[in-house]
Amino acid sequence: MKMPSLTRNALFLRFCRPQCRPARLQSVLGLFLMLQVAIIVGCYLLTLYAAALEDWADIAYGLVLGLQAVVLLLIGSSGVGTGASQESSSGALDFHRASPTPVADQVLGIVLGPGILAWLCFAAGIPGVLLCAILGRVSLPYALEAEASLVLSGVFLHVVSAVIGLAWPRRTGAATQPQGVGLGVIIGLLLGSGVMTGSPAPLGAFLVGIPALAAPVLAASQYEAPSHAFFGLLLPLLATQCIVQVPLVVFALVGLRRAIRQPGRPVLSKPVCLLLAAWLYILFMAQATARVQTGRLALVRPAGDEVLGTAMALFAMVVGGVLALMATPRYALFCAGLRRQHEGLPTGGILDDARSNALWAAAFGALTAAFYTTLWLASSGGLPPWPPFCAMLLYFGWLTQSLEWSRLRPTRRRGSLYPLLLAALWLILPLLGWAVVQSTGEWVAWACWLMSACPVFGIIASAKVTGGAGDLPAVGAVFAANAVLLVLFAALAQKARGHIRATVTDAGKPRPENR
Amino acid sequence: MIKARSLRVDYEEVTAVFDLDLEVAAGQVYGLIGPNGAGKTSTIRALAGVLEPTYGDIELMGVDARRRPEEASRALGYMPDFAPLYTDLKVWEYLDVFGLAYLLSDRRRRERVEACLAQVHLSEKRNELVRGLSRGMQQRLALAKTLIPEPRVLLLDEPASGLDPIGRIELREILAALARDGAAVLVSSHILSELSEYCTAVGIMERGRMVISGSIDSILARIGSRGTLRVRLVRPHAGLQETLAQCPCLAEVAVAADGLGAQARFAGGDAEAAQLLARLLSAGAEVSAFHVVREDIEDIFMRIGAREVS
Repeated sequence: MKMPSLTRNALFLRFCRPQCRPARLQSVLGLFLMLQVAIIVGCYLLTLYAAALEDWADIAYGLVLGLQAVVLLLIGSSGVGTGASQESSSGALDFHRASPTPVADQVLGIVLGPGILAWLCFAAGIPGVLLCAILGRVSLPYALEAEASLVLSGVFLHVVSAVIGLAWPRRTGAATQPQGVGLGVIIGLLLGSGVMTGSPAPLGAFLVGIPALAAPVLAASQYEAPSHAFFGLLLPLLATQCIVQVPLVVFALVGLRRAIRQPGRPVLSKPVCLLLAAWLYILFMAQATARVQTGRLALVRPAGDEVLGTAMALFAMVVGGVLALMATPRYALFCAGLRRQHEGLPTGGILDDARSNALWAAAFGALTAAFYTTLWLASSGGLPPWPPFCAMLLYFGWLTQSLEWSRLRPTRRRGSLYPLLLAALWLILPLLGWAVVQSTGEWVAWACWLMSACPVFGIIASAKVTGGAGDLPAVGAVFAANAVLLVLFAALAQKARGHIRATVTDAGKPRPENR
Repeated sequence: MIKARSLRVDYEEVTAVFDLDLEVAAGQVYGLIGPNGAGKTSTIRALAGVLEPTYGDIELMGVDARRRPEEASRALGYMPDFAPLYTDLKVWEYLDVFGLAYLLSDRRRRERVEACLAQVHLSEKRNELVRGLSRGMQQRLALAKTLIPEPRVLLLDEPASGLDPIGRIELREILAALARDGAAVLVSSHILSELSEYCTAVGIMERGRMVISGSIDSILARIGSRGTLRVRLVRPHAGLQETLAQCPCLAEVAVAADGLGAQARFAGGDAEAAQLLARLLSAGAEVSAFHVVREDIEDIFMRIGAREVS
């Protein structure tokens, strides 16, 4: 197998050449190094005025490392997202698609090329970081581990930014930066889940390398060497970060390859979406049963069955919602699949991109049930609380069906009905319900009905049933309302599919205007 | 060299290309003509591999382009309408990037960059930034980029748009030279008069379908060749109207008021024209000029394409 070479990579050089012109390189690197020197010298000078500031080198180390992180993780990934987005929206990427360059080389070029200046700044900052470590109490191995952690985080965020930039290319004149939104969703997903489970070591933090970056400073402050218990296995923080980030980088690379080779398709295929969901569940389980240790090995019980059940159901809801966006075919793709079927051409099987998301949703539900049960068996040995899980399934069920109904309508008919509908069900009605609760001072039944379509309320409310029968009216409202929504949207989606089938079949026949 | 079988491209509710069959042989310059929205650009994009068709087979240089795109694009030159350029690169760097994309060796890449710059007369601008070039020069640079891999298959979508008259002449010469060397060229354009000068075959598309396709002569033969006969005499001849009216290939005969000239619709070939001239001479007409103006692509398009559009 031939190793890809960056010096012969067209896309990499396309980005590298304008960024690495001497004038630009000198000014950017010069500014970065000046900032670094200013931080180090500034910290040292402070000791002249604040005698207590003896650990100036440690403070300088933290600030210089922070500067590296800002440049590589924030500015670098923003550059990669913007570069990928511009490459796609301008149509320049089509030239590379229509060339014999292997897709792997294109992937490499688009991930590393736009962020080259950020990588160069990072590299230029290494001597300064190591100098601070030597002058202070931070040990060199920890400092090197922190640098390696930054490299891993940089690769992860740059790959994810490139995928988002290609999947949602920036339209001319658009004010929003979609890559920022996407990054926020992905990182927030795991960070948030950590907070929900009450874990002191949210695995989401490993996505940006926070534990490994903080380790040298913690160690310098007389703490014991930190490590992370991953399913009971005591691992160094960098190893845990690798476990969290590397598979996600692989998923993102698979998506990037697809976005380059098949731009009209979803970034991830349905089977890959299921694999990604499985991996995210594994991370969730690891997080729910682990904590950062300072020398001691311990597998801790989660914060409580109700909390864990609710957290798992909410986590599954967010994961399912994000992945459903990828697994649900758009109108054009669904039609194309039906036409291929109609012509008797081979298709990709039951989990083909062009197929309905119904089967995928069922598979996702089964996968979630398996992990939900396993989590309980592993943590408490008892039966899991099913109400929040069933509520999650109902929400997920009507979300996927409504999404399919919305997407299987042509763009000109779609308008903004669906986002408005979701905003009403998930935001406006719950706010009204909350206002009613606040004004009456009690959970009146019709306030529960108003809030019942919102998954955050529904899942939390259904989890409370394990605590007493008093919550049963709220649970009843949640189950009844969402069952109705499920039936309604399933019928609408079925109708939309039937309409397209009829159209595609008719389109195969000669029509007067086509003769 | 370029083959498409049952090619179909759909966008939501619109079928851009409907079961299209197309074949462009080596050495042929094939003009794809049609009104806006006829499906020309979608056809070219699908052939270039940048747009996934709903179904259909595509073969470039004998290679299945849908199964083995990297192999099929080895000697493919693709130039879209409004070709995007890397404006922050220098002219030579831009071409060098695509030399790398086509996996050329370092030496070969340097040679090709210089040769292509010379071909489009941009050698003097090699060290300038692309953003500093005029619109016409940028279009020429896009053409130079298309020529970098020494393409055996060229897919050009409106390549002449933005080019000045000299640039258009150069484009015509380049395409003619490539076709002479055995390349298959598929070119779409709205400038029909230019296409007629270098296309050896044309296809007229309308609403995603190929209305008619083939060499210009074969199309003329199929749709009934039409032309205009113009005759000029030294002095008036009394039997001119009668002689012309007797010819079955002529219609709408109109003799000038001074009796020195005549014009008629001519539906025959060269043999019929020769016979008619002989008949005029034998009738005693002193013919000073006799010529048949044949239909060109523009006329064919107006007869076929415009009718379909209307």
